[in-house]
Amino acid sequence: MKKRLSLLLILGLLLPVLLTTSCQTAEQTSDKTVALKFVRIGNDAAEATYWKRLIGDFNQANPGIKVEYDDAAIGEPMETKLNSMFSAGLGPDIIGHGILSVAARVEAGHYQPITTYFNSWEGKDDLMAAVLANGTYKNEIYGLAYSTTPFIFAWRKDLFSDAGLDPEKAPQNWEELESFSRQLTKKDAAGQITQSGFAFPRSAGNFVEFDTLVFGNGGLYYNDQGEPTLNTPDKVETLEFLAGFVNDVGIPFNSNETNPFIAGTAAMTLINNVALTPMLKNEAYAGKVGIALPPANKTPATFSGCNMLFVGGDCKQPDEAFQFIAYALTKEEVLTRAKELGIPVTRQSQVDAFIALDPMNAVRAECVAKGVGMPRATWSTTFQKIRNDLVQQVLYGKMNAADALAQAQADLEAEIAAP
Amino acid sequence: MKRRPAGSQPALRRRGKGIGLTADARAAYLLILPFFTFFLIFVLYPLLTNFTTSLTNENLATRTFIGLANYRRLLTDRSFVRSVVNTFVYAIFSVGPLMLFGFVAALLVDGSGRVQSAGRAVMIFPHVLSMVSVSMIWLYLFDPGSGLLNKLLASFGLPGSDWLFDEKLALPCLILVNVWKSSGYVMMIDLAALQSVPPSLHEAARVDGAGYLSRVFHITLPAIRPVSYFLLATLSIECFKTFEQVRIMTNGGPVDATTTITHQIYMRAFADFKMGYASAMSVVLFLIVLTITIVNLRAGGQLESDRHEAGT
Repeated sequence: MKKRLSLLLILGLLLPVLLTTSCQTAEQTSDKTVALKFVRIGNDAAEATYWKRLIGDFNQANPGIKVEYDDAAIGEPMETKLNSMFSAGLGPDIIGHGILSVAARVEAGHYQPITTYFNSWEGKDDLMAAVLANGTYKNEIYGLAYSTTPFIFAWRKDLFSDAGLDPEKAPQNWEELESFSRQLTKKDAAGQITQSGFAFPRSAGNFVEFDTLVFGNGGLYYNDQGEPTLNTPDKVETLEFLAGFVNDVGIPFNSNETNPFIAGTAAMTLINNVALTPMLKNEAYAGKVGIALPPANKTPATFSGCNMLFVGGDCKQPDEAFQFIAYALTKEEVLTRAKELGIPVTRQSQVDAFIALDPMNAVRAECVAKGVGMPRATWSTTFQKIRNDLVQQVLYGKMNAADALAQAQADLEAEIAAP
Repeated sequence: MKRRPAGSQPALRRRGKGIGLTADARAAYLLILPFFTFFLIFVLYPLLTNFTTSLTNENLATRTFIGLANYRRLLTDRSFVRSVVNTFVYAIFSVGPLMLFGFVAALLVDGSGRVQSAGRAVMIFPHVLSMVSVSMIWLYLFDPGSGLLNKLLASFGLPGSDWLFDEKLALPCLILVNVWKSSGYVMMIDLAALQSVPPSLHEAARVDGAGYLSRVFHITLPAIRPVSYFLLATLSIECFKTFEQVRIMTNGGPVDATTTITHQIYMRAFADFKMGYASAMSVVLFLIVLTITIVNLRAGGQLESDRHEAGT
């Protein structure tokens, strides 16, 4: 009896494994179409709906190919998903990912070069040069951009009027940014800020709000040799400027959570273009929100993220994978994304049509044109953490700007040199 | 039914040239086989793989043996050192209050009245929620701009606080959330232990004139000591593994004020791809938890043997 029970138990445990294996084998042998797995960064409903529609159209137009959609939230969820899939030798065929991923994943063999395909693609001369550069690494093209995510400066016109400021005029430089912020900040009797003059995050998964100001002060994070340059006078100046006023004019928040500007308790902020879209579509804020290129100290510039389509390192059908990429980057689809999702176009020939869609699109297009992305280096992810730490060290008064930057530079160099 | 001769092996029996197993023994081994298969594949093998990975620079692209370099680096990694300190602070200031509040709550709800039944339900409620949900709820409560806590303070004319954005308050806030969530679990275990204490002991003490507190300290607490050691060990292990609320509520900030060992492992492995380095951190965490468990078990065992020797 015991023996039979034991055998039953073992069979019961093995049954799911056997069933899974047999089902997988059946799927691979019975289906003659080429199946491509697509994993995209970001899990927002609007963009997911768009991609599912596009994939449906593509599958219908290409009966021999079947693209399957999947996505993951920005940050660790996406990295965890990709790492798990590649570790199992089952990496996706097509990957939608950001600039930060390029160098590390190319070096890890997770992306295939697509230069040959690109050279014979109809849109090769139409893709914006700055955008194309984001997917290029060591003279090979790996990713083609489908979406740019510039950081824009947003302000509340009604609160400007209440404070006696010109509602149509955003601050033009850092001095105005600080003085407007102080004018727009309101506090209760206990000294607690009830209306933030300038919403700047106190913590972040990726402190690109700080990068926006660094780029606007003429700074960059790497030199011509691709070496990190954190400890430079422009960044000292940027940190000192920030530390001098943001704590006096802002309600603390994490950039991964709701920005007080979106919650209606801030008068100005730096924000991702897509994150601002729901507020702009909200009737309650109609005509009350303005957008502009962020105020700069030296160089008009902002941070601009970029999501690209890559052919995965494990992909056995790169021809079909690139066929899908080309389909997603046609002029029609680029403009559809602009209409449906408010995403700035990535093809030069579509800029005029994009601006004609909405008067605010001129600002968005300018932000993309003057946008700078994350470093394309194998140390990008480490840089992200160290940069986040250094901004917090200064905002929390733990270190002065010069010491924090010197330490950050030393830490990053040590991380790069580590075995 | 045949009886085995005295002194014979119960499970092993000589069969021809080799040593065979009796049918009972084979059945027994087969019954424990699923567990040991699971243990070997999902516990022992990953444990050993983790240790060998900790001696390499595995980063998903390369894997080279680098000896103890990862361990040496840990000693100078400010974030990791801070995470070890934070984890110990979190564990110490969580386990103590949890043991105290859980025990007091168990004493209060020990009974069959309606109030006690309602009290048990209320106490256990936070424990059945997932830590992710609990963290999201407290995240909104602690929000400096629109959070309920600051609004409550303001209604009394008191100044608010930055809570999770305050370097000094962030870790105590996480500890508070943990104590709030897990007190019900401690209460439940303590309650089961309280109900197993023979009522005759309390009655005898009452007849001898012992007051309530005297009975709690001299009868209840010694009687439930094994359960207390079990709680001490399991709560300590849980605290050392804490991750969800750190990831959701603070992500280790501000300025590493709330980063824990598990959070550092996660960040190094999945944000930096440094699997070898993260594995070294995991080995350190394993050794810490192992030490705490051994110390707990030894201390518990020692006290038990003292009790037996003293005849109590």
